[in-house]
Parts: sequence; C-alpha cells; structure tokens
Amino acid sequence: MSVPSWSRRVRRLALVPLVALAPWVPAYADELLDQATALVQRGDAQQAFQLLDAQESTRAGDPAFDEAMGRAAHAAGQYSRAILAWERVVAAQPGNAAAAWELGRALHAVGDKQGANAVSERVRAAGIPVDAALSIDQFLVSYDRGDHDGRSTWKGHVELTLGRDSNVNAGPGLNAPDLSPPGTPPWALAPGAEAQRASYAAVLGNVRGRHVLDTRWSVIGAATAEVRGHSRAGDAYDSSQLDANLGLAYRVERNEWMLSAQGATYRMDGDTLRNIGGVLAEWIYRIDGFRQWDSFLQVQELRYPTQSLRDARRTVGGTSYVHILRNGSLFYAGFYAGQEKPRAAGVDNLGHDLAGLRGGVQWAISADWAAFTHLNYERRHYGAVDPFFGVTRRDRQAYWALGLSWIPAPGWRITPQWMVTRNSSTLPITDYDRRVLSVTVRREF
Amino acid sequence: MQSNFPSPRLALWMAMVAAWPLQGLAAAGRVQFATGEVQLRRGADASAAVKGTEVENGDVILTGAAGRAQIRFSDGGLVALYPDSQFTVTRYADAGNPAQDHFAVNLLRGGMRAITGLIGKRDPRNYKVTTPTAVVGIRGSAFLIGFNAQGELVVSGEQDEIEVCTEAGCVGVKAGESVRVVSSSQLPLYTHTRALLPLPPPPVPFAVGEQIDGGARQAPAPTAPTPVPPPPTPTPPAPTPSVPVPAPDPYNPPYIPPPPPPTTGTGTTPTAPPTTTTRPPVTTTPTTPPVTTAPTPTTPPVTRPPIVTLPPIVRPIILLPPVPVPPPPPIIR
Repeated sequence: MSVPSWSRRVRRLALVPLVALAPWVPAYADELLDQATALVQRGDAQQAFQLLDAQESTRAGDPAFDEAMGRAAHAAGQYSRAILAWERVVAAQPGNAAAAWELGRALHAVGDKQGANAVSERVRAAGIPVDAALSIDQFLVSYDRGDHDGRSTWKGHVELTLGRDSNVNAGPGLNAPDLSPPGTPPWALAPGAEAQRASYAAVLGNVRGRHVLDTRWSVIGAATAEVRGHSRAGDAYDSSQLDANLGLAYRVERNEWMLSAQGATYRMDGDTLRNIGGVLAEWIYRIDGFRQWDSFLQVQELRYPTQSLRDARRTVGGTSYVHILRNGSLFYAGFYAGQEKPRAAGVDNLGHDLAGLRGGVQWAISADWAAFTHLNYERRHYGAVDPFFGVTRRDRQAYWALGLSWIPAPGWRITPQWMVTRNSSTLPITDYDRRVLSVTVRREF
Repeated sequence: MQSNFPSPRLALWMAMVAAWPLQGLAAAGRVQFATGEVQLRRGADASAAVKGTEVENGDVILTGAAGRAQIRFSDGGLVALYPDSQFTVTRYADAGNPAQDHFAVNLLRGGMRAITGLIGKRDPRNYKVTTPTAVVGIRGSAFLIGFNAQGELVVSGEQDEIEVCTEAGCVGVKAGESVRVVSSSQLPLYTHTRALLPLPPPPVPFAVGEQIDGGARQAPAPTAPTPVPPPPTPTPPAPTPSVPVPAPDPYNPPYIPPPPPPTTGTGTTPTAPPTTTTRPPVTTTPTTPPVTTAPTPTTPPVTRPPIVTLPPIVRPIILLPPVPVPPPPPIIR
C-alpha cells in the first residue's frame, strides 16, 4: 500500500521543528550539566544541587543528568538525594560500575551498610572493590555485628602479627647510666636488663558478642587470647595473655549503660606475672549514628603472684568522643585519669597517680585502603621517693602509632604499622624508648 | 452600579464551590521515575505507572520484583519505592497551612526511602508513615523503611531525627541509626553498632625498673653492681639522707652476690661484691693474674659480670652504696 504524497509532505513538515530544535535540547542539557559540574568543582555544590533539583522532576531518568545530580547532591551533603539519583543511573545502566560504586558510597554515607554491601557485591564482580576502609573494630571495638539488626550475635577475629621490637623488655638504653640523675649512687645495668632487640610473632584470637534479653537489656561479653614468641634475644619475654569480660548492658534511646566484670592473666616465660580482676562501668551517649561520647570507670585489682609488693588497686576513669565521618574516615579523642595504689604498706613509691590524653585519626584513602595514626600521652606521678635513687619517680610516656590498613578481600585486613613509645622518667631504669615495626594479618568472622 | 448577581455572598459561595473540586482533585504528586513493573491502582482501575503519571489521594502503587518508582509530591517531598512494595497515599493535603496539611501514607510491604517536603517542615506532626506494626513520624527529613526477610519492619534515619512508635511507645532514630520493630506491642529495638574506645592498658608489667622478681633466666631487671673506683679511705658514714634509704627497704632487699667469676682469662675481674647492701667494697685487691696471661693493667674494669653468673634475682637489684645526698640547704627567711 502506497503512502499518499500529502502524507509524506506532512511528515516532513512535522520533522522540521524537531530537527530544528534537536541541537538546542542537548545544548541546553549540556549547558545545565556543565554549569552544575563547574559549580561542584568550584566548591559550590549546594548551588549546583539547587540548580539540578529544579529540573529533576522533568529530567530524572536521563543518566547524564542523574550522574550530575548524584555528584552534586553527595558533595552538598544531600546523601539521600544522591542515593535516589545514583539508583536511577544504576537502574538505567546496570553495567555502570562507577555509578554502582558511587551508589555504594552514598549508602555508606547514610549508614545503610546493608544496601552498600548489596551494591558492593555487584561492583566487586565488576572489578571495583568498595569494601569500606572503615572498620569499627580496628581501633574502636563493639559488641555488635553490623548486619545483626539488633539480634543476639557474636563475632570474632584471629590475627597473626610479625614484627621487630627494639625493646621487648621496656628496658633502658645501654647508655642509661649516663642518664643517672645527679646525686644518685653509681650503678650499672646487668646484662639482659638493658633494652633487648628482638623479632617476634604473635597470634591473637578474639570473640565477643551480645545476647539480647529484651529491647533494653542484653548480656555482653568478650574474650581475647594472645601468645607471643620472640627470637633468641628476647625469648625470656615470650608471653601469653588472656582477657575476658562479661556483663550487662541497658540501653534507652541515646544512652547505653554497661557494667562488666573483667579478668585477665599475663604469663611470661612460663610463669604467671600478673593477674587482674575488676569491674568496668561504661556509659555511651549517642549523639547520632556517627557521633558518640563514651565514659568509663574501671576498678582493677592487680596481683603479681611472685611479687606481692607490686599488688595494687588501679582505678581509672575517663571519657572520649568518637566521630565517624560520612566518607568512612573517623577520629577520636579523649582523656582519662586515675591512680594505682599499692596494697602493701610502705611502698608508696610503687603507686602513682596518672592522667592521659589520647586521640587518633583514620583516613579512608580509597575503598580498601586507609591510613591511621594514634597518639597517647600519659603522665604518672609516683607517691614517694624511690629508696635507691632518692628521687620521686615521674613518668611522661608518649605513644605514637602510624600505619596503613588494607582490605585485600572481604573479611581480611592487613595492617603494617610503626609504633613508637618514649617514656621519659626521672628514674633512669624506667626511662626507655621502644620502636616496633609490625605487620598484622587479620581474619574476621 | 447594581450587580447582576443576586447577592455578593452567593457569588462568593459559588466561587468556593467551583474551586473546591479543583483543590480536591489536584494531584498529590507525580511519578518522576519508574522502571520495571510499577502499577497504579485507583479505585477499581489499574494501570502502569510511568514517568509523569499523577498520583492522587487514595492511590495504591505496587512494584513488581524488579520494579522501582520515585514519586515527587507537590510539597517537594520524595518517596522512592523499592521492589515488591505496596504503597498507599492515605491522605495528602498540601494546603500551605500546618493546620490543614497532611502527609499520611501507608506501606504494607516492601521498602521505601523518603525525603520530606514542606508539609513535614511546616509541622512534623502532619507527616506519618503507617505500617502494620509501627507508625513512623519525623522530626527530620530523610529515612528508610523496609521489611526484612522475617517480615519485621526496619527503620533507619538518614538525616536529622525521626520517631518510630509502637503501642509500647516511641523511640528516636537519628542519622546513622536504625531500629527493628519486633512487634507492635514492643518498643523498637536499636540495631546499629555502638563503638567503644579500648581502655587505657595498665603499665607494661615487665618494665625493668618495675621488675622485682623473675628468675635469673629472665634477668630483666638487674641493675648490677658497678665496680666503682675504690675510695682511698674507708668511706665515712653517709650524711643523714633526706630520702628514705632502705632500712627495711622492701623494694631493694639485701643483694645476693653472684658466685665469683672465673679467675682465669683476665687480670682485671673485680672481686665478688660484698654481702652487705649499704656500701660497696671498701678496698679491692686484684687477683694475681695467671702466669700464662699477660696482665692488662690498662684495661678498664668490666662493668658487668658475665651473664652466666647472674644470681637468681629477687628484687631490683641494686647494690646500695651510701647515698651522697647533700645536706639540706639552710632555711632562708
């Protein structure tokens, strides 16, 4: 059947305005998106977001527009809007791994880990890992598993650490006698008492969890065991350690209170060197899902089975603030203070007051790499003049850790780090430096 | 001039009657994005919802297994519906007046992410999402609601704060937090993790200066006797120390001397330390060097005994000479 000539003419005429307008539409679109992109690059993401928001109802579903909207919304802190935009891109272009990665990033930003993990599986399949570099349990511990939805759960990890320790025994340097305070008697270190340098290997296992009794009460607990062996120079310091705690938690709205019994034993070279028993009370106040205050009071009885003079009660209280940023980075800071009071009479020189500051930062460099640093400064003021040196011991201890965290595969973490301890003491035999370089391989389950 | 209308009041009444249907029939929102199977039911009618489809009071939107939809409401609010969802606009009124505004929707199954518009900003009490087990109100602007595999409702805050209520009461959910509604008669249960900073550890238990026991094999602590250059004359009693030098010194008990070191091999080995704890040997008599060994009178004294000679250390380890503490300075007034 032939088409009438008038019909063909009408069709041609109908195409004229479309052809004429066609160049204008993409030009307009490009202009809008270019303008929004430029605004984002200039740091004015909010204006870019508002510019695109006005057009969203008509242009939603256009992947180019939605990508621009997703970027502008994320940069402007409108993470939920970014999610909606990236979901449209991914729906239109299921193979767009970059968009899926951006969607995962936005989901992480609002704390939707379940959604982010669902995205990450697809993205991993495309070769782009999106495992968050953030791991609460690397520096901050928790009883809860992220995907447990508030149910009873337990989790754990095992670690293998290889390292080199410049001072396994926390001994003074070889030139320590030179540091002897004026007026103190002459003395010298015996062999083996000075700083011992050694390589070491350590294996650690940890389990912890929460058993939910009802919407407010739960039983919490954790146990950690570690065995550490050194090369020949430090084999006298081969040690094993066991820590455990068990308690109750009560949470209402923004607050959670926890009361736990704690126990620990430390063995060195086959002998029990120290046992600890105590009570820990903690109060967590959640400002929101990304910020919190954590305050604690810890009372411990320290027992040295072969050195009963060192037995002491240690009481420490403190508070800290933790802030997890939307990009997966986090920082924390806090202070604490307390005292260690010997049980025996006449040994006040072994007891001390202490006060410390600590803080740390973790930067999410990429999806699976993070850098971190941790600082701790503690002052200890002992209770009496040391009977030998004739001075009162005062310590100022600084600890600094710097490292990287790499997640090569889900559930695995490799952490090379450099740790430096400097204890500046008025007693030369407690004045020491310690540097440890280590690599830890961790498997979480 | 006389109006053609019987009365101005009647004219006003007629205008209001004429305008009312327009307001009542105005669309609550519009579908701005749809993919997969998305159906809109209005009364007995059902049709596919596509981009641009208007959504009105009483409309039910259903998404299929791969269906997703985003609805923009007239107040600027957004709702994203996820697969296998059933969503009803129960009562929507964007009157521009908190007394007359309403945003009441119902989520029967599936999941939705919502970003509130002006109705919620004008008065959060006018914004309600009702589910079979809980009612979600807002004090914020973005949240996620969904049913998990067990059919329980999970609500997460994404911006500001929302409030999730059951018959047992309400809990607040802020950004990054989430709750699970176990049943309509129980309070919602928080599900997010709560981080803790590890506690400050006690001091290193084997620091040299603190090690007062350990056994010879560890030899961690000893500050060994220093072969102090012998004084030419017996040391007089020390001046009264201003520090509590060991009378019963629990920290520094009597020093147990090591066995004498081998006397061969060097002529400079110091004699065994004294058995007292208060002073070093007054005089030192070098042993006669063996004939076969060349004397080395210029060799400095060995500052440490051989490690094999270390005694079982019981305490720190210190040979206590008189503490040369200067007399206290005169009091200056």
